[in-house]
Amino acid sequence: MGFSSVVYREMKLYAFSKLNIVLSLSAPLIYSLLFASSLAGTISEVDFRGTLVSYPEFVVPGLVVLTTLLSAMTSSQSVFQERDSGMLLEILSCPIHPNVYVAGKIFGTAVVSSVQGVGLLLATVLFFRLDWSPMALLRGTLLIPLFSLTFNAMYLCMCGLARNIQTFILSMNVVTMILMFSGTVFYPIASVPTWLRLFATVNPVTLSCETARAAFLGLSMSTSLIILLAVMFLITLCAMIILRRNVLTL
Amino acid sequence: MDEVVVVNDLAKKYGETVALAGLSLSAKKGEVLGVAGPNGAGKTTLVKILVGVTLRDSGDVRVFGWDPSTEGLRIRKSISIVHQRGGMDPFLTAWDNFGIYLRLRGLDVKRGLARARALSERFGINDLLHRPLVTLSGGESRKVQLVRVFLHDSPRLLIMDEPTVGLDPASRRVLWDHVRYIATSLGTTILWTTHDLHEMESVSDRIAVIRKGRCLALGTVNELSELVFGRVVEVHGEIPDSCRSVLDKVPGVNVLSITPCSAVLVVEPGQEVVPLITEILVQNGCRIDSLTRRTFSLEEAFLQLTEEGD
Repeated sequence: MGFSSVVYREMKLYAFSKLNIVLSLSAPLIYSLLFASSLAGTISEVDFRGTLVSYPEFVVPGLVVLTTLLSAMTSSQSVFQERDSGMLLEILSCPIHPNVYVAGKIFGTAVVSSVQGVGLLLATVLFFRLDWSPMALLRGTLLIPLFSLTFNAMYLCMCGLARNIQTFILSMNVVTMILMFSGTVFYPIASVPTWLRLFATVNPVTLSCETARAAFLGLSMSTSLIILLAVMFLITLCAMIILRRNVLTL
Repeated sequence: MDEVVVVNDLAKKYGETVALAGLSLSAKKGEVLGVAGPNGAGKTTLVKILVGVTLRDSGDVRVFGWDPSTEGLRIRKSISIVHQRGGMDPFLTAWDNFGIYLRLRGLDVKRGLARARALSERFGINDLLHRPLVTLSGGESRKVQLVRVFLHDSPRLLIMDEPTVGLDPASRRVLWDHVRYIATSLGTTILWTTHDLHEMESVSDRIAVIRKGRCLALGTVNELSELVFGRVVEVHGEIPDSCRSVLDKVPGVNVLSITPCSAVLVVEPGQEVVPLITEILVQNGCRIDSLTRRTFSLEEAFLQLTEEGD
C-alpha cells in the first residue's frame, strides 16, 4: 500500500504538467541529436568488441544511458524539496514505514527516468533510421529501468550524504561530469586514457553503456549485465541505508 | 482506556540543544488538550515523538497504550495530523493533493474524495480545488490542508500544530466548531498547539503550558488562573505615582502596572488584602472610582508563567 502510494505520488509530480513532460523529453533529445549528428559526420565507424558499427549505432545506446543519468540527477533533488517543504514529515506521519518510503522513492524516480530513456530511444532510432531487430530493441528497452534504478539510487545516496541542496548541486555537477566523460557514452573504452581506464571500467555509466550496446547490437551481454546487477544492488542498498538514516534524524 | 496520550518525563536533545527536558502531560479520550508555549518550547518536537517520526532520548510515551518508538506505524494508522508547515505538493492541485493523501494514509479514495467535496464547501474552497496550490493565498492553502486532515473520518487522535496560522476569523470559527464536533460526537482526542490564547480558551478543555521543554501547568482555564496564578485587583480612578512604592511594600501584592488612572495588582493566592489596598490608596490621596477583583486572563497567566510579562 505505502510503496505504491509513494510511487503514485512521483508519477503525479512528473505528469502534472504536459509542458514539463515535453521539456523533459525534448531537452536531452535536442542535446543528444546535436551532439550525435556533429560527431557522426566526423566518425564513420567504431570498433565495438571487434565488430565495426556505424557511429549512430554506437552512440544511441550511450545517449539512452546519458538521458537516464541526467534525469536521475534532476529527480533526486526532490528529496531536499520534500524535506524543506515539510512534505517528508507529512509522508512519514502517514502509516508508511521509512524503508517503504525510501524504496518507493528510488523506484518512483527510476520509473520517471525510464520513461525519459525510452522516449529518447524511440526518437533517436527513428531519427537515425537504425535497423535493429525487434528482439534487440526489446532487450535494450528492458534494460533501461535497470540503468535508471542504478543512477537514481546513486544520486539518492549523494542526497543523503549532502547537508543541503547547494552542496548536493555542486558535488553532483562534478560527479556527473566525471561519470559522463570517463564513461563510454561517446567513445569506446579503448579511447579512454590509460590512467583513467580502471575507473572507466568500473564506472556505472560504462557498465550501462556496454550492456546497452551489446543488447541493441545483438551481442552477448551476460558478463556486463551480471556486474551491472551487482552494482545496482550494492548502490540501492547503500541508498536505502543512507536515506533511512537521514529520514530518522528528521 | 480513558487516557489516549500519556507522556512522562520526556527528554530530547538535538546535539547540544535541549528540546524537551522532562515533559509530562496526558490527554483523555474526547478531550481537546491545548498545548501552549513560547517559540522553541518543544511543542513540535513533542508532536514528532508522539507520531513516532522522531525518537526520544529518555522518558516514557504512550499513545493508545502503545510506544511510538516501536509501534509508530500502528499509531499513525489511527491519527490525523496538521503540521505547522504545509506538507503539500505546491505544483499539484488541491484535488491531487487529496488523492495522494488518501492513498498515503491507506484510506478509501472514492469515499474520501466525496468527503473532500462536502468539506471543501464547508471551508469555502470549492472553487479552488482544481488550481495548483502555488496560485492560492496562504490562508487558502491552509484551508486545503485542513480539509485534507479531515478526510480521515474517524481518527482516534487528531494533532493540530498551529492549525489556524493565516486563517481568517470566519474560517477559524468553522474550524473550532468542527473540531469541537468531532471531539464530542466521535470521541476523538485533539491535541492543539497554538500561540493564540484566545483560540486556546475557546477550543480547549484543558491547557498544558510548556516552556523550555517542561510542562509548567496543566488544567482548565479557571484552574490555571485560580490555582496557579492567584488573582488580579484592578483599580480605576485618580492614582498618584507615589502609590506604587507604597503598594510594592505590601506583602503578597505585586504591582503589574500603574498609570495615573488605573492600577493592576497581582494578589497571591490565599491573601485577602483588598481592604488594606483600599486603605493605603485612600491615605495616599487616591480617588477610587471602581475596584474589581478578577482571575487572570489566560494571556496574563501565560505571560506570568512563561516569564515573558513585565
